Amino acid sequence: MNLNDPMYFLNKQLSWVEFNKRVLEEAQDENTPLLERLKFISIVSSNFDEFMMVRVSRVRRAVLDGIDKTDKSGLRPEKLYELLSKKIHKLVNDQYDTYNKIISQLENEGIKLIKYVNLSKKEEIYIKDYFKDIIKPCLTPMAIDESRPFPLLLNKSLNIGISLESEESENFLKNKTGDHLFSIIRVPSNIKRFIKLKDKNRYVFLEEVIINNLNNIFPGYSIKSTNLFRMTRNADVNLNEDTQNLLKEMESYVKRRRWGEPVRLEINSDMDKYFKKFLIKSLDLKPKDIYVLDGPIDLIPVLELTKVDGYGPLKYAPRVAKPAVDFVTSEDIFKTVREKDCLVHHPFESFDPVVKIIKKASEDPKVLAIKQTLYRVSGDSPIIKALAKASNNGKQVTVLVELKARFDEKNNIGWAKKLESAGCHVIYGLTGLKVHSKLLLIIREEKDGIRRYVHMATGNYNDTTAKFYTDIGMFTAKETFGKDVSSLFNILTGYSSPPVWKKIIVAPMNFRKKFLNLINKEIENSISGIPGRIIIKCNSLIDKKLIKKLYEASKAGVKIDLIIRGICCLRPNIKEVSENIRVISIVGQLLEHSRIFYFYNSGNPLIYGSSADWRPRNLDRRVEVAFPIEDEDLKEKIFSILKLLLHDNIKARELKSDGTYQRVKNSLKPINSQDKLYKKIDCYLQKKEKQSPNINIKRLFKIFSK
Amino acid sequence: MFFKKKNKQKNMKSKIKAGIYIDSQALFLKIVQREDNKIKFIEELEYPVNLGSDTFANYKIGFDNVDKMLKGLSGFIKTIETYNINKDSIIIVATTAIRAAENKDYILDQIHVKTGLKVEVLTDNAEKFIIYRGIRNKLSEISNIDLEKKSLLSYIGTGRLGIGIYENEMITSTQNIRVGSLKLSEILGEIQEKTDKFYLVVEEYLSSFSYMLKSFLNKNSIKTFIATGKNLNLILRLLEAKNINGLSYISKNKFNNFYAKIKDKTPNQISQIYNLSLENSEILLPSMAIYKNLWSFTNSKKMIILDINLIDVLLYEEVFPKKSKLEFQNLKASTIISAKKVGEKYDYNYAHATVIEKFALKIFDNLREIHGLDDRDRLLLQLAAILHDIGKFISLKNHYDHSYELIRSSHIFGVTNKELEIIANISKYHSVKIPDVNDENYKKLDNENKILVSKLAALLRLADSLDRAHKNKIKDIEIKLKKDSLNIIAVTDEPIFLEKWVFNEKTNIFEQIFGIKANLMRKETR
Repeated sequence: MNLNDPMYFLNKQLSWVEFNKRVLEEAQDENTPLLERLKFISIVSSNFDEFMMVRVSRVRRAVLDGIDKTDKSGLRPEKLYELLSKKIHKLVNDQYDTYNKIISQLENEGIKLIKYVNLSKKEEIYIKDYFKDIIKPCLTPMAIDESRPFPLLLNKSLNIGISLESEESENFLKNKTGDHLFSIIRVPSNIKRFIKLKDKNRYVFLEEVIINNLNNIFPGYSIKSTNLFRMTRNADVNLNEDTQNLLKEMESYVKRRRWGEPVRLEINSDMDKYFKKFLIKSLDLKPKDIYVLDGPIDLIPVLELTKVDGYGPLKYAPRVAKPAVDFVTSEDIFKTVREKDCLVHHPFESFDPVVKIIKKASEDPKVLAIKQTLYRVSGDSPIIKALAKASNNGKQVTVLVELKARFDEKNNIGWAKKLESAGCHVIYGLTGLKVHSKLLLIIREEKDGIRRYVHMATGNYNDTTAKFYTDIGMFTAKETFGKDVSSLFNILTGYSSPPVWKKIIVAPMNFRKKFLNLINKEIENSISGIPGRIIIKCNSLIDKKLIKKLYEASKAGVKIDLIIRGICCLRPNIKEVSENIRVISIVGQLLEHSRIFYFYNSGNPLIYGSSADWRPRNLDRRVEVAFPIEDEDLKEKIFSILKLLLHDNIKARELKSDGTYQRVKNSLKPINSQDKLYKKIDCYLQKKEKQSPNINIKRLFKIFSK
Repeated sequence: MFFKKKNKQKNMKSKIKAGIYIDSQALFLKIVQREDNKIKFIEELEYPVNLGSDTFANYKIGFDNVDKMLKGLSGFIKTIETYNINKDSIIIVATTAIRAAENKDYILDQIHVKTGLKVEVLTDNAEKFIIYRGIRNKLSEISNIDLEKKSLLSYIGTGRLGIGIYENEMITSTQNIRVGSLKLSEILGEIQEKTDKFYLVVEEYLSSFSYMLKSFLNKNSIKTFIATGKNLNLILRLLEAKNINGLSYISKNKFNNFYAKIKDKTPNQISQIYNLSLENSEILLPSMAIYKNLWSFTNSKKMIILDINLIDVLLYEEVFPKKSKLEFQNLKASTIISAKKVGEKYDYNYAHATVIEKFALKIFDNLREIHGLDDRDRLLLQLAAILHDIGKFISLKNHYDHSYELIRSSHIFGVTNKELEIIANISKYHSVKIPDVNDENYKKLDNENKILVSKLAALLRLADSLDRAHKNKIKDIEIKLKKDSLNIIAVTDEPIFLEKWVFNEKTNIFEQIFGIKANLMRKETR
């Protein structure tokens, strides 16, 4: 049997569209609170934007370049582009159907999107003033015709194409062909898309306000038609890493990316046909790239509406992270970690211990140095502040900033500069490798010598995303981890070549090989009669070598559960190939983000947490770490999390062998794993309270939630 | 750091030490601290710079590599700063690659100017001696080797091969051969890619050294083969050797089978098959060939591999100063035994050498306040006392000249080449000749050592005159040091006219140097 056969692999782009479909399902789900459904509508759109700019652009490019090679799933670019376009068009139509339903339901709840013509007299006066004072100064009409170059329209900008007619017979603005005169106005992105009217929760769209107030802008012309459109560009441009100053190059890269070729055009069905023809020709687009939408173009800003005050029942009940169980009785965070490894599961447990240990370290006279990798951080990050403070306090602070975190570059450049000016030693990673691992190392000189505190995590050091991404982080003071992580920093700073690792597994060095071996071990066990069992949880599973190994394991009788939120190229339930593999995806209120790898290992389970998905880019082109979770209590905690996720029958979908997903339906007690996990933390806390009666956890919790 | 511990500014507060080793293919940084009775490695960095290939191929280190080395060192310093370690307390040593480079002084100066580090370039002997110290430390920790039997120790540096015999917990003799893995691949490297029978070339080349080894080894029936050297880690990994109680073993069969598998492969093939860097692939065959060759001189079925790293040993000694001092004492015993082995080789008069050794040391010890020399100098005197007459093996005529030549071409364990030169000089001047600036051998010495040779020769001459007849007449001596004279009282029941006559002949240098008169007197035993 040839496991390389394309029939055994699902296409990754199509699988991604399936993922976005699941996100849309959350918007369609009647059980999701109404405003939250709107939020999922916004997420679907922003997901598509990124997908279009990078993935679809790449496939489209391949088609244009005449590349005719089949991918792992046996598809040629042309065919793939066709399938993708079809699927996306269908999904976008569904999204707008859902959107329109949600909006009409919201109207019943009193949140109204008012058409301009339906504004009351009073409201219209208010809006006209608003237009004059606020909007108009931001407008820059551009005249266009076939004789001058088409203006450079900004990626993802919403524009109004205006067809004009001269009121006088002769005008220098007249188009050479004489028939059509166009102008384009960009809808300003710095003004809120939804303008709130004075009365409660009535909104009007910004673009409608502009369209209805154009008269004064083109004196001497009458407006024949107004046409909204939005254009998306290819953002898959190359970064020149071979440069003296990566920070500089990154700044220019971000600028360059704004001007890739157009790949998608979003319009409404009532577009003036001449303007449409002109636009499509100017942008050099194919019919497949045109999306005719039944509703407002660009739904990302509907997120603004979900932030409306009140309306509690239309939103998820507020979630407050519980105090981290392992630290709840801790008085000295270093002591707690020294005594025992600690594990924190976000967002169920608070992100506080991470911030706290860095803050403590920045002030602790015993601390000599802090080293940390930063990938994406929040806008006003307490971590950045603490690091800057540590540097001011004379600690050696080394920060590895990954500037290449996609679409976050601009933000990253900002605080990288901030850290540099605070005296931190800021480094920008290795050429050709993105540093994706999440590591923190604190070096402390204690009575009995140097001791190192390590934090390793599956998610970024970002206190904001830690509120809705599920991630795990482990704290340890074990010498072996300290040494490994020190060595990794020495590699990242360019001071050393890789050592032989004691504990951690590092990509691109030995990650894939190590996990192939771990799967092999299960295969051997299964063949010799010991049960083989593997549970892999990550965001995407694409790596062909690992997928093939999982097929081998399935064939050898190893029971495999995969919890893959996004893309999964493994095709389950193929007779004699993947019968023992079950794939589920959990998409719900929280973004599943933790990567956890479990191997039964004949009764002595090996469990790893990791920053890496099982996809080639993570394993070959990024610096990633998988860390073993060794403490028995922590192992148990992780295993119970996995068990709960596997029993989810509310938000879990199962992957079918045709590549589609279906909600898990069974007659068991309904389990929403994400809800359940919050409750579980309560149980742990109560247990802890029993163990240490001196501490009143309820009181602590109260203080905490303030 | 080698013998005379320099008075370094000690960072008393910090128990953390840093050591940098500039090796032929990489720079190493280790940061350690003491934890109870163990040394704990906090940081271990390796920064690849192929200095060795520059030095061995072009006799000097190229600009690119100097630059790279400086970059590596400044990274190391950043890491060291993390631990608040005083820069002056950093141990930094270099070996062959720098030692043999023609532009050595320029490079050392560059390092000093750019990084503030003062590199100590170890002589080949010093390097070997450190490794042997490491081997002894390791072996003393391990009880499961049958060390009663003779063991062959070997250490392949990139530039030279060191071998030694270990018996009764002592290293009894050592030998240096100018062949190392890197050197070999540099010498023969051009042929390596041109033929798949390169192993024949290597084996043939090594057989010329085997001839030398035979005379050194064939008398010994060696039961154990202990090897150390950086390339071994590579071999261990490839052979998936088992590690038992901190020791790794490779069986002869396994080794030979693997050798047979790679011997007709080019470095490119090896690099592909075993996923190695090209540098490692190039030295794999030569180093395995060297070990194979050595192995043939033993009856051992397995090779015991010790992981000894030069900088580890130095850091260990730094962290455990008391223990190391003791160890140096033990090693001194090995040095003395090793000197006596040389003596045996040239059929020396054991009784005479022994009594002269005794007298010379006694005189030395009683004259400390006027000669101002240290314990290391005392050892040099002792070694000269043991070996001063070995020239008689060649001819009685001008035997001191022959002694000089034999000593300086011998190997004494734990003695540097410079020190060997001093011992040879002392021996040359023990008899009729007196130090003369026109003598080539004396001219070569620097001023400090010229004085040292003169002083020690003066003392040896006194001692030697006390057994002029080589009959062991004088059983013991007593020494009385007065303001303007030294009285040596010979305890004997026999007449010592001859000795007195010779003593007065030989005392001239002593009087010139120390400015006091030496008298020999006699006292009955009773």
